[in-house]
Order: sequence, then C-alpha cells, then structure tokens
Amino acid sequence: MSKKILIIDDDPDIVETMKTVLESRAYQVETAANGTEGLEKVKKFDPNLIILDVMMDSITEGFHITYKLRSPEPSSEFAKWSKTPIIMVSAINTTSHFKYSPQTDSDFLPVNEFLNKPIEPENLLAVVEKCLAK
Amino acid sequence: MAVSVPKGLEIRIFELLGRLKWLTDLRWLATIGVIAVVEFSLIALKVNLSRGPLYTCIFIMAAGNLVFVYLVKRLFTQSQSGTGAIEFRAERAQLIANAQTVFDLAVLTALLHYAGGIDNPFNFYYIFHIVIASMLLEPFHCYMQAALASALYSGLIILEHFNVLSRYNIFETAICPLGFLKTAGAAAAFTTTMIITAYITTSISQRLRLKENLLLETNMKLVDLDAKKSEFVMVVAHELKSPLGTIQFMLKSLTGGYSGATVDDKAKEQIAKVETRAAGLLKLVTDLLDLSKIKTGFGAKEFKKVSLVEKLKKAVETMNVQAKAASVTISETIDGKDEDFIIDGDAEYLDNVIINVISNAVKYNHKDGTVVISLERKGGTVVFKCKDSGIGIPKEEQHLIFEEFHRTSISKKHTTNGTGVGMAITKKIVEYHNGTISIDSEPGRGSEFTITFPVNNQRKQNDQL
Repeated sequence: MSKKILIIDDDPDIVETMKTVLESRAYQVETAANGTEGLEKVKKFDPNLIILDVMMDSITEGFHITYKLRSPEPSSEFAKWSKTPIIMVSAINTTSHFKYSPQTDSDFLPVNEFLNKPIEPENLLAVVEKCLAK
Repeated sequence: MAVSVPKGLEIRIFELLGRLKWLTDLRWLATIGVIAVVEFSLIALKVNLSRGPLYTCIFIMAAGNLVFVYLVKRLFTQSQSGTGAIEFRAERAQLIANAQTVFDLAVLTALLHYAGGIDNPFNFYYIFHIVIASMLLEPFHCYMQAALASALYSGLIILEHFNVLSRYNIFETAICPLGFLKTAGAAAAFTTTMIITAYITTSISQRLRLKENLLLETNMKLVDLDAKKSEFVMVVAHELKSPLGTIQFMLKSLTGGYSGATVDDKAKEQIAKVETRAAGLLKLVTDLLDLSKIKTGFGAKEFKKVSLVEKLKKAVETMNVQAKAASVTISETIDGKDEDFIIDGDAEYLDNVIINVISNAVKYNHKDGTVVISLERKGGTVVFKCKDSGIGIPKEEQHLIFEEFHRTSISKKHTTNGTGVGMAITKKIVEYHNGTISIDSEPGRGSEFTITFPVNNQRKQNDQL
C-alpha cells in the first residue's frame, strides 16, 4: 500500500507543486490550507507523514500544530499520531527556534526534518524517503 | 516627531554630564594649582601668606569636588539605565551645574580674601567661571552667576575697605590703599567685566547651541528615516522572497520532469534561463533581507563560542562546487591548533562572512585561478586572509566596495550576477564582532582581504549591528 502524506501549507501553488512531485513517486497525497483544516485532515486521512509550513496565518501556527500532535498526554485525541514524522518547511533550520515551546528539553524534538525554502524537488523526495524509511 | 524630543533631551543630558565631569576633573587640577601657587608665593616670592585659612579653603574645595564627582556619577548611571523621568534628570543636571558654579565662585572669593583681597592679581579668574557657566547654563542663569560674582567680589573689597572683614596684607605695603570712591570704582569696573563676559560668551554659546540643536534634530530625523527605510526594505524583501521561492520550486519540478507535463528541449532551455534569473532575483532579495535585518538590529544575537576552523572547512567544502565549475582551486592553511581559532561570535553571521569573501574570490577570478585562504592567531586576535588571482579592484574604487549597492566597474564587466550588497553585509558583521576588514588589491593581479576578529568578545547591551 502506498504511503499517505498530508501537506499543510497556505500557499496553493506550493501545495499543488509538492503534490505533483510526490504523486510522481506514487505517494498518496492529501492537502490542507491551514492549521485547523490540517488537524481535521490528520484525523480523517491518518497520514504516515506530515509536511508542514512553519509560517501560515500566524508566525508560529506551524509550531502550534507540532505541539498539538506531539502532546505527551496519552489522553490527547492526537495521541495516535504522536510518532508520525513531521517535515517542517521553512527558511529557518535550527532547533533554537523552538523557544516557543513550553518544553525545550533535548528529548523533545517536535520536528523530524527541516526542508529549506526554496524547495528543491530532489531534496523534497529525499527527505520524504528518509522520514518514511524510519 | 514625538519620539525625537525626549531622545534629543537624553543626548543633551549626556552632553551636559560630560561637561560636568570635565569640570570636576578641572577642579582637581585647580586644587593642585592653588597649592602650587600658595607654596611658590610663600617660598620663592616670600609673600606674606598664612597657610591655615588657605589650606582650609583648599580642603573645602577638594571635599566639595568629591561630592560633585559623586553626584555627577550617580546621575550618569541613572541616565544610562534610564531610571527616573527624563525631565527630572535634565533639571538635576542643570541644578548640579549651577551648584558647581556657585561653589567655585564662593571658594575663589574666600581664597582671594585670605590672600590679599583687592591686592591679589588672581581676581580675573572670575572670568573663567563665567565663561564655563555660559557653556553649562541657560543664559539667564549665566547672568545670575555673573551678578553673584560681582556681588561677591565687590562685597569683599568694600567690606575689607570698611574693615568689616579684616584685610590680610600679603605685601609689606599694600598696593592698593584706595579711598572709598576708588574701591567702589574698582568694584564697578569688575561688575562691568563680569556682565560683558557673560554677554559675549552666552551669545556665542547660544548661537552654537542653536546650530547644534538643529543638527541634532536633523540627524535624528535622518536616522529615524533610515531605520524606517530599512524596515520597509525588509518587509518588501520578505514579501518578494516567498513567491520567488514558489516560482523556483515550480520551475524546477517542471524541468525535473515531476509535473507529468511533457516539456520539449527548446522549452526546457528557456525555462532553465527563467530559473537562472529567478535564482539571481532570489539572491538579491535574500541579501537585501540580510542587510536590513542587520541594519535594524533585528538579527542581534548573543555571542557564543564559534570554531572558525570548522566554519572555514565547511565553507570551502560548499564553495568547491562553484570553484570546480569555474576551474578555480581553493587551498587553505591553518597556522595553529583548532582551539586557537575559537572565538566569541554569532555562528550564522560568521558563516555569512567567510562564505561571502570566498565566494567573491571565486566569482571574480579567472579560469585556472587560485584562492588561497589562511587562518593565523596573533595574540588575542584571529587573522583570516583570503587571496585570489582574480580581476582585482582599482585603488580609487577600493573604499567603495563596502558601501551598499556599490559594484565596481570592473566587477560589472566580469559578471552581471551580483547585487553589490555582500561586502556591505560582510563589513557590518565584522564590525559587529569588533573586528576589522581591509583590502589589498591591484587590477589584474588579484585581491587580498584581511579580516581580524578578537578572540574574546562581548556584545554590548542594546547594541545594534
């Protein structure tokens, strides 16, 4: 069965292009244009991997989603996806930006990989493969 | 502008405090001077002085100065940390300035009294105090001080004349055994001297102060405008960056054959050209963003330990791809242990500097050219050199390369691909790290950039790049 990928990004052109690139490798792709929609799609679509844009409506929206998904409480409705890999698309690529986090200890890494903008198709595929291989 | 008013006042307080500090320094010197004059007059000139009252005055002078040093220092720290209302601090500074002048005039009068009164030739020292007062005080206060000086001195000589105050005869026979009218005349002459001095000095300092205020205001407006412009550039650049990134991504997936659309070779060639132009544009926008970030202090960060050897090796590795394409060889020598080149700084910014310098050395080079990089430790500084065999920069243009948006005539001929921002950013970052950057270059022979960084560094608080 092909792997399912959810893209959450507010730039429709980026979303569409990412979708085509990923579909060319036979991934099953679903998209969402904002954080709220994204979280709904997570429940509905049950993805194997999430690609998330860091800056959407608000600067930290992407981060907020990661904390929702990575919430350590077992009672959380998203507990099922707490281990689902997340790729964060952003112009930043250091963990120092996690100061928004209520928890900043080193064990807690909400994002598996960073993908730098501008996105390179080859790079996107490589990072996706790496995350899914785990 | 509403913001500039307290800011200007703040600068003026600092200015006044600086002058007050200078005045306290001067008073220490005066104390030593008075002691020297007293001792010289006693020993060499055999003038009839009594040490007791004079040294009491000198002691008061020194003790008073200690108080003023403390007051000025306290106000200075308050101003630095910005505690208390600014108007209150301005008032305080004026008050201290006035108090210092009154104190000086009183001490001078006492010294003169115990050293001969009207006979003492040091009476013209009052003029100095009025000149200083005109620099420190509002004109009205300066006139008041002149009036005080007149009253003190005239009062002294008249009271001494009527023997209300005892006269200390310093010479065997007094020079000035004047009658009352003549004494009153001397007092009047002195008074006019004071008033005229106050008039001349205040009108000159008034004009200077007006001009200074005008310049200060203009300068602050310009600084403000420049900051706004940088901010605007940053916003625009940010808005441009995102769609440009999308364009590049879409073009790449098109030429990479991911889109499913069939693209013939002719179209592919044209798309590749579009992509190159988009990449150039993106580089310009990224540079602009970096520059405005640096200028607005947006990117100001705390310093951490950074290994320059590590940064250099990584940069060379990255640049080797470009160098290979241009048939340029990069070589590096590190003169010392890795630990010698760990400095305090910001990793991202230092990365930027090293990559920028090496990338220029590769870009403005000839086929089969060389780039020689060296790291050296000299005492407390690290010296980074990058020498290329490239096109070089004419002498008259060398100072311009660190200006924003400047591209040398020779570089424009060499490649159209450049924004003229890189070196400006590099210089700003180097200076931010308290380092220096210099260039030695000759057209046709190549360029050598020398950058130094202090090993131990601390970023000043509220410091902007």
